[in-house]
Amino acid sequence: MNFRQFAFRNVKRNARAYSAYFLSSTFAVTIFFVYAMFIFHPDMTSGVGKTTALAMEAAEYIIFFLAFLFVLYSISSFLKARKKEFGILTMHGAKASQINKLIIWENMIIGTASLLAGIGSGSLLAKGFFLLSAKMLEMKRLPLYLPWKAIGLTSVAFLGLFIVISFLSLLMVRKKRVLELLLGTNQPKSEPTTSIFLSLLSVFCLAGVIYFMKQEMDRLKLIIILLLGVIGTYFLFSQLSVLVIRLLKKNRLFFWRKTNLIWLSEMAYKMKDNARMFFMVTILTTFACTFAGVVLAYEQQNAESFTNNPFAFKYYANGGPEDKWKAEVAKIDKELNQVGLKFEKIMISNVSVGFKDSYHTVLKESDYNQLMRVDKSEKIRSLKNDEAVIVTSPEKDMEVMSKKLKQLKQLSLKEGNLQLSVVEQKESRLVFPTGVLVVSDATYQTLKKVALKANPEDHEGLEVNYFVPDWPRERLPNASSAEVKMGLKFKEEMESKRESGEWTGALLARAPEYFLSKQATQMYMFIGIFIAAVFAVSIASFLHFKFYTDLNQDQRIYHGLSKIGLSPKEMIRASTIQIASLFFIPIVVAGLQSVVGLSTLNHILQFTTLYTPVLTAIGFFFALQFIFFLIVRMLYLRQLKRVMV
Amino acid sequence: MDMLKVDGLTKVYNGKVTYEALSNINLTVEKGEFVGVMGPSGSGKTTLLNMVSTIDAPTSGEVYINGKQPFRLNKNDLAVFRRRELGFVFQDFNLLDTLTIGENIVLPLTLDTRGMREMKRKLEVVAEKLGITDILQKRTYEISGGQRQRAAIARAIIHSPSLLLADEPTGNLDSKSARAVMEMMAEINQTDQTTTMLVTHDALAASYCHRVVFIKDGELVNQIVRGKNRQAFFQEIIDMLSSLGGIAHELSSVRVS
Repeated sequence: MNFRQFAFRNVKRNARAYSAYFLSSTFAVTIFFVYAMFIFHPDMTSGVGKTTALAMEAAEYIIFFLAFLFVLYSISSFLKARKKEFGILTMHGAKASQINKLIIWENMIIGTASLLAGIGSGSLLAKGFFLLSAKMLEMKRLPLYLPWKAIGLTSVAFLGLFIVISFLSLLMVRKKRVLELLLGTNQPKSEPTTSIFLSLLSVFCLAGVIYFMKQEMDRLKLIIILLLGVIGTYFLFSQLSVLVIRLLKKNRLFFWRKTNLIWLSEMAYKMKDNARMFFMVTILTTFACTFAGVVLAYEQQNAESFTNNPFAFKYYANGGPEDKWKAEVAKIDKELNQVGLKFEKIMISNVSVGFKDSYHTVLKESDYNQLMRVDKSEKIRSLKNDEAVIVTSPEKDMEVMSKKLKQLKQLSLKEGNLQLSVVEQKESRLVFPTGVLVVSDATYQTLKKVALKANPEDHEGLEVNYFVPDWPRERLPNASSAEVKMGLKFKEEMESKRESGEWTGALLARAPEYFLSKQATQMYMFIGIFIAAVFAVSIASFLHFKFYTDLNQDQRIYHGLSKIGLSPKEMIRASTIQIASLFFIPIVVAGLQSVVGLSTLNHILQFTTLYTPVLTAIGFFFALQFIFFLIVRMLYLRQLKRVMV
Repeated sequence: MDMLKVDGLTKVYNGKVTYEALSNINLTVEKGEFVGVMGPSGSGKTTLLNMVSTIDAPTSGEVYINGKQPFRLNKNDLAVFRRRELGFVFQDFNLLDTLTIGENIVLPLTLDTRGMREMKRKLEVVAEKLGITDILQKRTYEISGGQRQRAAIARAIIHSPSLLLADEPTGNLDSKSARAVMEMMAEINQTDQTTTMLVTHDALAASYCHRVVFIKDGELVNQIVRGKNRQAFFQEIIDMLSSLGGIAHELSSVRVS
């Protein structure tokens, strides 16, 4: 048996110890490969814009970085579990260089095997992935292809990764005394220490975060909050959690009760051992959830603004000469007539009038009621000449403005002696978001004269709303909708003509606005979900790995306890609590942090509904983790049940 | 009154070669008795102990502990039965590194959800008895092997079990600690009337028993009862072992690992 054979047999015959490492590496390769196949797809490279392609490439780098960390973590706990073996080899005269060679050989064997397995399983996965991604991005389904480029990239990247990691792992076993190696993990660890000062620091940092959240937000405060949050979270896991466990242990009524004695005492060690991982998981999960929440909220808002708008097109005449805008409107009419669409035009005029408190936009009663008719909303009663109705926007970001308007009871002109009394207050999304006054048609004419006399260069505003009964607002359009196609065509035409000055008005088409925005958010969602899923699976397999390295020790403990009368039921209870806390503590903390973080973001971004999307994102994470928890628990308990007598 | 009754116990291991580890063992241990089980390696001592301690089921025959038949119970109830009726002392102590000595000792009571006051009182009493009161707050790696085994004995007797089982309790100890541990077990047996069964290789440890039974090739071959003098009993045990065909040096009285 030469040394290479020894290395090979080591891998072959100790399959269980290696399988966790092999599986996590394979998994990393699979994810990377599938994604590479996706971005190198011939239809993909030609079919997307430059920014999208760049974003997707960036995501590939992130995946690679996560894979690197992940494999590094796996190998470090893997090597820790094998300390004793290296000790025995050293005792029998293996030179340091031989052990190094052994580690490198093993790594290369596992690396190559997982590369092949990863590419194999990746090819299988790719089909499903293509279906999913095309559906999400609203593109046609991508056909499978022979991905030489993706195979090449994956092979080169991961061979490099395994070589680098082999050498890094040498640093991990080096410079340990033989005795230390021999004792390996059997050495009982001393009780984890905790500092009251650092625990208090963690509490203060987290309290500080909440304090600053409540203040007016600016850039400096945001940085302080991030900093405090990161420091607080780190010491939360490494110090405060251990302190809390220690205090719980002092409470004998709780600690000396059933299996609490067993799992709680283990917990302090597990917390301290995994503090750094918990910290990383929590911070990344918080960011991921917040990001996903913002994207989801944006998408929801986007859909809302479509369904709130009954008009397919809105044309603004920007004060150009009359014949010009009339020609432009006629052109739109003609295009719509050409495809045989029925439509209704609603023309709304407005004028900006100076009142004593400030300038207000004024609408005609008849125009307003026309809008309400199409919107199927309540019309206003016919007004007397000295009466006005205030209409404000229900949008949250206009809150301050609307509040101010709503306080008005009497309005008097800046110049002239006309008095208006406010008789009603209304809300509508179809008027200017800054809020308007609605007056009787006769008063409107009076006010128009006054306003144009005061500011001769000003003009009456005009908008033409197109209502198309065949395109109801309740049905969100997709890439193949006629509304999107036509809207995009209008937009393009208008933009090219505008540069040459041929077109003066502005055309707003709700469908392309919605669709383009949706496509962008879905791109982000897709990349976000993909990375989040990668991340969630990495955490799960990493934890699985951790449990496997502790398995021998736990088996010994439970075997002994079982002899003195620990029933299988109690064993399941104790280890379930342990496994569950490792899985769910970071995600619960991350969930809390994202909710707190979002209330801050909400100050800045002014979303109407941010909590539902964020809870959806956290829920998604949680569900994913829960599935992995069940799997890991099942596998682990199966191993432990074997030793129960 | 019989605390332990083993009736026609047989254990057959089915493998490529069927192997009868125990055949038709009958043994009765009375309340308060201190019985040793000895025999050469592979004679079936440990198999017998595993049956009595309910962690392995016999192929045929019955085991009665305090009048009950544990093998009629399911796995969960069996565990509860073990922690109430039996006490265990192991060669490798089996203490949890993550707990203090005191916590290790109260573990059987905690699993049984006893009251806090009762647990504290019993812990004090048992620690006093075994002379380990001042190390209750220490951790397993801070104390010596002899102290660890005394802690393990304390854990085994804290719930006043019907039957105390010891599997090579001196196997991992130096001669001085071994002697101290055996004296402790003998004293507990005497003062509390705790029925005890000891499985050992160690003739010196066995000499503390009232009675020693010998197993060879899965059968009970002989037993000797202690007279007044422990030294003479020790010599009798040595003689018996060599007559059973054991090798003298295999039975050295002290094994330091």
